[in-house]
Amino acid sequence: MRSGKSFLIRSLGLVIVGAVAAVILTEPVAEARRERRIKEVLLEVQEGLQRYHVKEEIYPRFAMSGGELIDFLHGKSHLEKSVMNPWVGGGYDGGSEVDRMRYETDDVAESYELTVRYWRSEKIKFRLDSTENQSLE
Amino acid sequence: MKIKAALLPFYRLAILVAIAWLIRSHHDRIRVQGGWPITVSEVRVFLPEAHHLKVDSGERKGLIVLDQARQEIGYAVRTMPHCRKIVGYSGPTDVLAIFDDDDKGVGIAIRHSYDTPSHVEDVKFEFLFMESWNGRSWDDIAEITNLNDAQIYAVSGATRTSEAVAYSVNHRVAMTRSEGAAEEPWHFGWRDWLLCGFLVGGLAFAFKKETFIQKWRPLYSVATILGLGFWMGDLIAQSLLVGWAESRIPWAATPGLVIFVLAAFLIPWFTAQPLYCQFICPHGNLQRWFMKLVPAKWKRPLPGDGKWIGRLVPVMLLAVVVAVSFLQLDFDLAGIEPFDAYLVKSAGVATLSVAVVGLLISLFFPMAYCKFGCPTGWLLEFVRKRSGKDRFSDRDWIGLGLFLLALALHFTPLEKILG
Repeated sequence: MRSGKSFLIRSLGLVIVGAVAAVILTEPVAEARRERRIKEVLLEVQEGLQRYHVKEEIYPRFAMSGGELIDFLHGKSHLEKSVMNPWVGGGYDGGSEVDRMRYETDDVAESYELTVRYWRSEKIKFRLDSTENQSLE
Repeated sequence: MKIKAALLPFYRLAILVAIAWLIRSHHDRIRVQGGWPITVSEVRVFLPEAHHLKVDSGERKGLIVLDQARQEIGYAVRTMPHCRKIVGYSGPTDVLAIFDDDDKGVGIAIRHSYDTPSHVEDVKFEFLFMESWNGRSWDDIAEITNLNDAQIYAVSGATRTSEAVAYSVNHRVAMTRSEGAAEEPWHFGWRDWLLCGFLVGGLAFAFKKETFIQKWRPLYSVATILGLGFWMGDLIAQSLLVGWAESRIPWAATPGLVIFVLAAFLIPWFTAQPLYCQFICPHGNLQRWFMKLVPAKWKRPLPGDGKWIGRLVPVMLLAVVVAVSFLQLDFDLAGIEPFDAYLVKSAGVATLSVAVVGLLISLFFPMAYCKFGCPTGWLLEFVRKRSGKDRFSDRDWIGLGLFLLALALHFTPLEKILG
């Protein structure tokens, strides 16, 4: 018959191996969830930008962070305030939160570019614009 | 559980084939459905009896609509991502097109649009335009080249957006003709011959025990490490197997590798001889050489509990592999095994670390990686015919567990897990 000590060691081993699996999968799963939220936010913001463009006949003139753009579009009633910050899972209030989304336009504000960058990198993960990358699929 | 011993080998092979089939079917669904899958409720607007959507991996690459009795009642396709280049005023539009069981259109719906929202609204509510495809057959729609000739008229005030919707539907339906699968030419190159050569060598050492053959085994072992490993980099790995399961087996492009992998699974299944692990695997052979570097007295046998825990590691890694494949996680499977480390120039830190640490451990615990770390080896051992009395063992339960995990991930919508 297996001793109590052996049972304890094996149980502990099982827990450790399970924990290792959880550690391996946690970040990729979190990243996949985040990516889905980012795409949803990008689509909402893009719709807001299009509504703004219909009314003003130009896109917003200045480059902005994601949070700034959302505040701007919300202020002009082109966007619901309920847009969540995909990186923190909460609202875009305060302005100092993690925000890897950027909005840019050309000199005459006739085109837009929404980009999402990798963490601490200038490498672009998602790009949605009015010329080349007009969808997220 | 009483399962006749004779059926056990078939059970094991069936488990592997079933998991591979589930992975394939899951990825077919993702390929057909794209990032925003069509739901039954969307289809039910046009076909109220719709109860289930079955992926059609044929040339249409859409969804077969089934009723509760699993009878085909129609067909559904979406225009994205195939038609992402068809842009209206300011972006493409994802359109759902539904056909009945006579292959005639019963309706279209705008699912999402990157176009100007007010124009999209105009198109959505212009019923004459939205019903332009109703009653037309799939083939008729595929043949449309001019919208006016086909009496499909753009929506006033949203001309470009409505034209983009129309052309997207037509293009999506017509693309099944233009994308006729071009057969990849079958090519058996020198790499394929070389792989078959390594396979024949392994077979000779596994089945021919004559001294004049076995005396060459050290040379063959070095050849596998330098040739198969460092030069060709053709080791059987999870990344390779999962890649094949997700897309297709490259019969035409690399037939030698396909034969090589099939032999690695089927020869142990038929003969009980662990052909790949014991004779061919470059990492296994390298570990055998490493074992010789340290005096026997330095080696430590692993205690029973340690072995029990160690044997969980490849199982855990296989569960990770299944999860990564089904959830499409951004995780490089090459990093959980040492095999990519043989392509030194392109190897990542993870695979190099697994290789180096595995080899160092094998200095003191012989073949530790093979016994307690290798998920691919676990699979090969799982299907290997048991010599002596065979029974339903822990491995068979684990195999069943992995199959059930794959089954659960296959049938659970991604959004339930990934939000």
